[in-house]
Amino acid sequence: MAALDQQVQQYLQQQKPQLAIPVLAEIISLDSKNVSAQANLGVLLFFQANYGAAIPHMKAALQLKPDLWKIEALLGIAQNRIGNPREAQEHLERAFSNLDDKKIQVEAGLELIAVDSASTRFDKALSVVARLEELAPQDPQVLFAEYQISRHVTDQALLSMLVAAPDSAEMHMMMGGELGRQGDHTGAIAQFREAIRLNPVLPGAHFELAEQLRTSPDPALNAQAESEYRAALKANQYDETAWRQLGGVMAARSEFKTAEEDYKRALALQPKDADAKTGLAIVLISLNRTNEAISLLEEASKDDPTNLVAHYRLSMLYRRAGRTAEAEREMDAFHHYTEVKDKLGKIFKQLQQSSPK
Amino acid sequence: MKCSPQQWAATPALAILGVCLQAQHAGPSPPARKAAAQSRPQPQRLIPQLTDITASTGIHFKHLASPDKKYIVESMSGGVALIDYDRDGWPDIYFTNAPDVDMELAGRKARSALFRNNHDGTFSDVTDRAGVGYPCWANGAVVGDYNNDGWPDLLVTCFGGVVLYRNNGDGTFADVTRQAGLGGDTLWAMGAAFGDYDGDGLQDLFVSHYAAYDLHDLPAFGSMVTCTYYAIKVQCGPAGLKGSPDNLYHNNGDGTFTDVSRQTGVTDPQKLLGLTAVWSDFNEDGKLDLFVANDGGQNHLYRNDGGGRFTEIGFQAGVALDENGKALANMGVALGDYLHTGRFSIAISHFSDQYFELFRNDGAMNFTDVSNVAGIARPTLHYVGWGDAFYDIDNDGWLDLILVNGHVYPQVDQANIGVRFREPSLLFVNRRDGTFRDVSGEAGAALKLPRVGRGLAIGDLFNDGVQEVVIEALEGEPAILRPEGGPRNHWISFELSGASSNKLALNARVKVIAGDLAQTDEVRSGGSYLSQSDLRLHFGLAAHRTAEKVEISWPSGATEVLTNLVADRTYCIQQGTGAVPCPRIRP
Repeated sequence: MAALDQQVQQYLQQQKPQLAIPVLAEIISLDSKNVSAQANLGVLLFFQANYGAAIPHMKAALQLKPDLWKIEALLGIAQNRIGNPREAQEHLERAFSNLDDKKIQVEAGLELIAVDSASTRFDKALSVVARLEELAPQDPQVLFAEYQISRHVTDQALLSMLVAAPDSAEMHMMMGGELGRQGDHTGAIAQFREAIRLNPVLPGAHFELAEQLRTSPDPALNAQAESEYRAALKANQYDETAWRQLGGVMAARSEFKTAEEDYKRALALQPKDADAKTGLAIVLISLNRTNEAISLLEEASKDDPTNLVAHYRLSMLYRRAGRTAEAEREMDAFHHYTEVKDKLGKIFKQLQQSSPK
Repeated sequence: MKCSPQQWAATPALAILGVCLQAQHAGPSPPARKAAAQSRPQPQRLIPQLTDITASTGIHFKHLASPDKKYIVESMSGGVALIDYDRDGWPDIYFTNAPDVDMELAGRKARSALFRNNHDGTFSDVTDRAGVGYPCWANGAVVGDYNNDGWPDLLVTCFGGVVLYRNNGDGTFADVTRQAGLGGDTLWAMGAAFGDYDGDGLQDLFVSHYAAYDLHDLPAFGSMVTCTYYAIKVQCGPAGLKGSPDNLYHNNGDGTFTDVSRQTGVTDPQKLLGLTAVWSDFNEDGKLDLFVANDGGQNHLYRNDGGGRFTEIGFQAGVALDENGKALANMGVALGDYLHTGRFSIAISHFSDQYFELFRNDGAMNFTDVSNVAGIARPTLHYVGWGDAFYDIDNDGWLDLILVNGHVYPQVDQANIGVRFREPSLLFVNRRDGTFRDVSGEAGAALKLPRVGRGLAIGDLFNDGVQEVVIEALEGEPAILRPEGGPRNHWISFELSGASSNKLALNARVKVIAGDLAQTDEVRSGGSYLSQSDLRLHFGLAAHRTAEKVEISWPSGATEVLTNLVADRTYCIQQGTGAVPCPRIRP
């Protein structure tokens, strides 16, 4: 037995698993309770993608020693690969909650998300994603999984709504949102209007309609945005975003005093809103209140370092004030975050191109 | 007797002038003026009515265009150049033309056209005799004098390089592209401008290039996300297209040019989509700087450091992006001293959902985007802008702004999204406080008429002190708009001729002081969009009958001061000599 063990070690060191496999099988035939041999044979067969053959050995190992969490994770993955999602889920859940190796835990978690998503258990998948985000917040696989689940959840909600309440105001809200994302302003506006007709106090409806009207290419529709923002505020005077957007509308119309008031109301509700601070700063620049604008932009760029407008505007104001070094620092920050956002933009564009409408 | 005050040089001829002024104010088309006057609203300020006089000029020209514009290259042409090619003191007009892709692949050409000014309000087609009908797939045209013989030459930018037409001085032109060393330029050329960047008295040439585009490998209509507009399938580009570098050609003084793009530092290594280029001494240090508008990318401002080197300072100067740090679709470029500071600010036209941008020149290469506070941002937001100019429509001594628009996607007409293919032009009058008032609705039906505008040039076509607007459209016929019925203000204009400076006096500056008015302008090649305005400098003088002081800064660095020039005439100025009879400055 010792000689066989030694032979296995030798083959593994020489990276010849295919030679180690029959030796491990021979060991097991001599001693079926050899945990190490069962586990190792299971692992070797797993990585040869021979999941059917690997599973009995990993199961045997776990019966002999139930706290082999890595083996249990691999067993779960193997079960999923051969089409046993129910068993896969049990093993993966158990392994995921007990593993202490971060890398393998992420692997097991991603597999578990795939299993949960396939069986439309999005709530469970979301809880696993949340745990993975704590473990590996920068991991692209984790972030992608989160994106995919969100998409699934959205699609599922849309389908459920279509079945449950196809003529509801909420259904029209959802359709409006989808059409807006596809760049179909006309369609989105029609859906939001219908939602409001069915339920004039539907939360968010006036705001969403206002957003579509404001960004439409049609000047006649743009002109209607203000009244919808006001309707949103009438329904909920604590709608910070509506105050901020209304400030933007007023500023574009050169009604700077009103814009200032609107932005200030937004900031009273959400003092850390970098966009509202930036918008207010732009108004103050138009009113030649440059020093106040600089202070606001400095705050905005701290609250949200990725705020390109804040960095760019600040750079311009510093330069005009002769503060060259600070101007360059802000311009550097602007370029840095522009690059980051450009990369993101390219990825989103690719996503758009690869996904059907 | 024909009124041509520019013929009189500086010699006062008041009696004759008085007679002529009456005739000038009467204008060439009384019925049109009368109609305009009847329909004119009663605003606070008398706004001249831009009247379409094209029919009476005898100009018949049609820019070709495919109906669907399936490819971006079919949407970009349409330049117009005012060129006094026969040096008779009357501006002539050159319109570029371009085929569509199918025509080009089948070897069929589009005819550009040159119209000679007959001095009586009409023009004659002299294209064939001049030999400038078929230069190439012609985009724009600019005027220069590459061989410094005093005869203005014509440079045409093409889809596939440039064509340099040497003015032979006998009513004909010769294609000297290859012998001038410009035959190697084979890229999609759009903007171009002559300017003497190294002060040697010879005009150098900058050419900005657009996309790298192959007619045999065209991006299919509507095939990608970048080929949609508000969910409508449209032509692909400019987003998603690769750009091409730009070129600066140094004038060797022997009729040839040398490509000095790399050593001067103006190659555009990022290969942005170059459109309009303009030379001007923005920081008044005596050296010509270069501004290049890039479609969808940052603008370039090349500061001339001397010694044949430029440094790109667009970001530091604040002209690279819009006020929020966004790269816009920069198209046409106008320069003008609209604030009477003696500095040239920059106005840039853009695509829809962007705004007509005004960068105020604060001096020392600092610019501020003042479009919003100046009142020109909001009215321009929904239009696709092209040719633009600072233009004193009523001779009140303050530069107004004019802009032609026209979409690139004919498909918008069927999409019911509130956007039309043909768009009205816009006019903003200078309120003399740094802001402008949109008077597009008050300046006559011809301005409001929707068209697919592209090129725009300004010039006093009839030498009567009224500057016409010449518009070339992508589709159909051009338009000549004449302001009529405005206030009876005085004016003065100058035709310059360099001696130690280049003979056309490109980038010479003239400062005119008349009473409370102190205006500055500059002779420039190129600008607007693919276009060339009259090289003569025109100043409105409002009620002032005399310009007390006229200071000319020649490109060589020399300055010259003339005093007490009587208004309402064109003065011919020879460097070092002052005002002379006009024939003396002509070859």
